Amino acid sequence: MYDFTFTITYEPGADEYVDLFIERESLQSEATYSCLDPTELWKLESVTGDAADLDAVDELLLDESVDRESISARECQSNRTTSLLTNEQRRRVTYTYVSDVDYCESVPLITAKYVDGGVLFEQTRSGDTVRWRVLVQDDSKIGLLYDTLAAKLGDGLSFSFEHLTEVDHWESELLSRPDVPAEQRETLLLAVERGYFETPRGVTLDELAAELGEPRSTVSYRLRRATAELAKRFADQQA
Amino acid sequence: MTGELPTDDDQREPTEASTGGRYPTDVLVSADWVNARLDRFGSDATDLRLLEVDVNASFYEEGHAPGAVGVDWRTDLRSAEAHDILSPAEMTAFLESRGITEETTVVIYGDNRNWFAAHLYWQLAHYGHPDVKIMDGGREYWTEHGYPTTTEPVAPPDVTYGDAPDAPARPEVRAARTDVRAAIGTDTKFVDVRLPEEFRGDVTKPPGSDEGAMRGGHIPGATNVFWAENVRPDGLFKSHEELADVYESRGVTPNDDVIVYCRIGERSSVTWFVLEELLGYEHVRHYDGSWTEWGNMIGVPIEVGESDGGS
Repeated sequence: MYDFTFTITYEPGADEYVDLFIERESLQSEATYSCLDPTELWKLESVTGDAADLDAVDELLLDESVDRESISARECQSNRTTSLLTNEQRRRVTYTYVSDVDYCESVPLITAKYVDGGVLFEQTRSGDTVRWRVLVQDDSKIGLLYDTLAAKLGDGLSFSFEHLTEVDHWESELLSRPDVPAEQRETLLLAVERGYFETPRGVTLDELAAELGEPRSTVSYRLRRATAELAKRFADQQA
Repeated sequence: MTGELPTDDDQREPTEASTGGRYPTDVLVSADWVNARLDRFGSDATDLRLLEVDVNASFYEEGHAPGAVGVDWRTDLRSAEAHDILSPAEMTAFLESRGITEETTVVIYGDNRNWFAAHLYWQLAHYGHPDVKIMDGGREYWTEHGYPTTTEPVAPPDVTYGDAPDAPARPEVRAARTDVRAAIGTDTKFVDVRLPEEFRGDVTKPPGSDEGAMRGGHIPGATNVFWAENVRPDGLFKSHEELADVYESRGVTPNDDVIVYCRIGERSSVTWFVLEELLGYEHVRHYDGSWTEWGNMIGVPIEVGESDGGS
């Protein structure tokens, strides 16, 4: 299996949904898409962020007339239904089904014209950047896809190829995403591994800081932020 | 695939409703023009022939316009032995195999907004076939707008191409690497139609592509005008005014000596067609060796990074 990863960068004003992510830095979105042929697609999208920012997203997220799929200057000619599956203070999960497609210049549906079934799409949104990871069994049509996708982009969008490699890991934590930034996660994972949370502690903050090559205060801050975030998310899920 | 033709009402950008009358039909015809002649394309008559040539060769078998004869660019449009475009004899044999005589009006369409349709058009111009047209919008416009398709095989009639060329009739539409080298540093305008990341040299070998180069970048002084800037969101060519603005705003004007290129010479065929046939530029050459040749040659000058303006 191959992993074809690229990013699309949006100028402000180019896409009303992406604009929200540009204006509100706490917002992040992860989605998984699938489609079997070029006439329909479905996706599960998880949006996380501060409560006020998420409130601002709701209107667009649930408005079925808002086209969050097309990458070209043409809106999709199709039917769209969206259901809200999870509504937490710091997270929304939606399911969207796009059907009866006459044309829809979205990454999954363009891909479906070139690559037969079994393709999985992972999409992450943050700021002005939308990153796509396309998982395919066979990479023989990726060259065609690269040229085609890049040529479809509407005004204000730019394409950047990242890599085409054989898949060796799976990063998505769509439904259990701990919502902790990468540097906090790295610190937390190392702390757990070295026994920081054991009684008695298997490692001191100074030792963790030395291993990470960071000041003690930074490591302390990251651990407090990460554990606070996880505690809040735990409370959310119990609510 | 038959059905009502959707309107353009729900597109984000206002577009003209029809291709009718936008450009002279001696070089560009609309899907409606082709649709009105399907009976003749599907017959054994030799006055009209419709060809489909796709980048993605499997599209043709999934469904094509009735009467359209399939062309596979990988085997039909290049000379494997010579690593070149077709020789005069190969071109004649190819045309005969598709039921085309010197008197046939050839109409070509294909995927990706007519990449290889334009490439075949350019090769036919090079060899001087008298009457060739491109179908505006290509394969996607045809299928998206409900024009009829079929998977029926098409058997063109047996013909002989009279007055077969033994040399290019219009060598001036083609640039060789020696022409390119000689033009660097002169007033000649190079138009590189690849993606900005290819132009800058960030990407030397696009993903999954066999056509890589040892070095990235562009021909010194080239201007980057991405090929897709020639078409509207629905795939039809932009209007004359819009196209003129695309090039003149980059300092590429009708009286300039222009050389266009891309990676393997297919996308730049679209730009060659636009400049030569739709905008009527006086001197437009297509460097079909393109980046797979230039980026692999020893000792030739290359520029990397953003364009220096090019004009």
